[in-house]
Amino acid sequence: MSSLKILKELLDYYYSPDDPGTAWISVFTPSELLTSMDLRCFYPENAAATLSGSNKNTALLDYSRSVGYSGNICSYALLYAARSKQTSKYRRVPEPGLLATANNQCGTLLYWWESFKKEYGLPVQFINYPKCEGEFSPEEIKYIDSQYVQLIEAAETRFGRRFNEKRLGAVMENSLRANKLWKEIQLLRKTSYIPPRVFTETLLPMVIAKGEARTGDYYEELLDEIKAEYSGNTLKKRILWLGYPFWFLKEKYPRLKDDAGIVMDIYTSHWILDYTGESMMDKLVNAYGKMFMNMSLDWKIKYVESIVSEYQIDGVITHLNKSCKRDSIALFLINQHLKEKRGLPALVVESDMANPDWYNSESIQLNIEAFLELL
Amino acid sequence: MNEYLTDTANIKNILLKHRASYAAYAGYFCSYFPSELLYGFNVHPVRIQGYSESLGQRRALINYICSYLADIMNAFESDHFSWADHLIVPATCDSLYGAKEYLERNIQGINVKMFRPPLKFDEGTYQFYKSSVEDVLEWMGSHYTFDDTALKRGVEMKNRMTTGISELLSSDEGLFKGAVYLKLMIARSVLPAPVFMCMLESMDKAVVGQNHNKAQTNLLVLGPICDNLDLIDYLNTDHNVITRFLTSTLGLHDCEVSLEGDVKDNLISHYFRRAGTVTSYDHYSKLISELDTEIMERSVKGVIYINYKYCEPHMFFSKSIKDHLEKNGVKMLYLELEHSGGIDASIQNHIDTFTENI
Ligand code: SF4
Ligand code: SF4
Repeated sequence: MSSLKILKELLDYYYSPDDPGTAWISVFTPSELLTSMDLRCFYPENAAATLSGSNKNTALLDYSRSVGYSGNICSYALLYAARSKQTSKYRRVPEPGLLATANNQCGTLLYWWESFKKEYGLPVQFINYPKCEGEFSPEEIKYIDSQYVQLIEAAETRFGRRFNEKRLGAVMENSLRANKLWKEIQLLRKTSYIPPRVFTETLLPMVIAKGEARTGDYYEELLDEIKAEYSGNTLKKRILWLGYPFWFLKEKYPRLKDDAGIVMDIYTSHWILDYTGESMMDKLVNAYGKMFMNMSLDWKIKYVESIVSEYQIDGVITHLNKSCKRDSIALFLINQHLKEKRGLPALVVESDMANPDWYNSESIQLNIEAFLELL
Repeated sequence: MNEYLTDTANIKNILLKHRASYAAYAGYFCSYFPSELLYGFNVHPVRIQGYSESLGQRRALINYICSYLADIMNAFESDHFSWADHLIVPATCDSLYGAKEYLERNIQGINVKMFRPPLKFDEGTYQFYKSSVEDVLEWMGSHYTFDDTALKRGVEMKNRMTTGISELLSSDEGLFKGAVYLKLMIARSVLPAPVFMCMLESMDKAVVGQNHNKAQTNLLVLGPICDNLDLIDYLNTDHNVITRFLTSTLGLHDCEVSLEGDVKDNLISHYFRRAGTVTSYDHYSKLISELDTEIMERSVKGVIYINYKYCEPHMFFSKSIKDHLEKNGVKMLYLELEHSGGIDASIQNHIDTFTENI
């Protein structure tokens, strides 16, 4: 079966109108725990990114502002606040029976989920991750672990189901398989140029259906297809993209010149998670606690430096994203480090991942062209 | 009182003048860290205030950081914080999170430490919070020696400062007394105790009292840390402003710390319980009911929510408050201002139109 066919099946399942019990969670919440209880996870961030790509994006943003939201909150939240105005496909999403989020990506999610709490009258299961310097201490692991247990208990009470460790084992197996394949696909970028839109277009199952068996099937097919199509593709100027793509652009990234291309990006690679650990809980602590955005700046710098050398990067473009402050500031400092300490050409582009009003196409294109000339 | 606070150079000069009385100065942001603990090291904790004067152009990096911190970061680069030996930055919001990483890498000669404020209220989080406080203490301990008696003395002094404010304002539970209250609370968190007490003694009770009750319209002002004293003074000219700056000015009853038993533990659990309102949504319903009471008891005619540009916690928070107030027929004006932008004619216009219509 082609990857596209499997993807369609996955999406049909994801958007089907029946409600097996739905949890609204952020994209780096340990979804495996909920999937193992046969709950469906729905991701408002993902829905918002899709809305940003629709031709209604500015109308939705305007609507949210008109009902009293500040235009300066994260554009995902701003777009999603206008969901009552959305097209039928997304209106079918069942209301949440459980709300869960975490602070491993940003602080925004907590505030955003609190607005769901008020709307749906449900408590928020909030996972408070300590920032990770490299490894978690035993106390930190214990703290995260206890919050996972609280999440399970909340789901049990809410949906009247029992958590089953064996079932979690099966879901974890699926997740690990998908994770391994996604990593392999990313690694192909070391030797062959694969246009970055391939990764934004195929990321979705990693985000919304890690624990499904079909997700692994999908990536297995995809791996072969990508190898067949792009093997041996080369480029003269190899660019590393730091930060979010632009969901409202057709190609998701600005145009680069013919001899230059984004060979690696630190966004779709966030979904390569570190599932190491003895027990399943340990694996989940590491996977979500050590996701890129929750790591210390020193760790991030080392990680990006390793990408620069392994992927033979010639220059870096950093997207300073108005929506995403914590991430942007860290990426800016990494950009600064690579430029000043490593002498790598590095450019900063200011915009927003989901609000096209903040995308000044002309000036961004000009800056990028001038930058590429210098390489 | 303004002479102590309005000019940034004043604070710096006062601190430099009293430098010999302390082992060091530690700047801190927000009210999540039990700052009095630092007295145990003979370190004077100074809450970092923003600056109303413009310190020049925003730089690229700090474009999207909140404007309060953008000014502070500029100020660090232009020597306003040369008094600070250490800096404690809680990861309360993403702007602060980023500011810590930025300052650590770009400002020489200052030790920066991140601190984890409580984001929810349960036993596990309390232990986590406590260990984060202890981590800061260990870090301080690598520079200075801790002494229990010094801690007790420091807390005692701070309590005395609180009582002093309360007496001056002849306050019962009437906590939110416009510009004077706000300024006193700022002074309390910045000035060395002897300077603060001296200032308090020089203030005339009668004048302060008068200052509070001169106008007819009661306005409740909400928002994050507001050290825009010009704005407060402007609002206070024609209206009786009741300030309740959510993350900075606590009620006086929230400031006194018990000296019974283990003072260190008292401080940690005290700060945990009273932790800031924005992150602690568990406190949201408590806050809302306090607001409702305030509005009723003080015949508040309207609410002005002053937020700083790009302060995201308050962007979300203000929307919830607005929805709540409007349901109860109370109007709210939401303003998102540059921290150092002053109060220009258009802002005055907004405020005047709002107050005329309530
Ligand atoms: S602030 Fe950043 S990480 Fe957080 S929800 Fe918005 S885009 Fe995502
Ligand atoms: S003003 Fe807002 S964004 Fe800035 S430090 Fe305070 S809470 Fe954070």
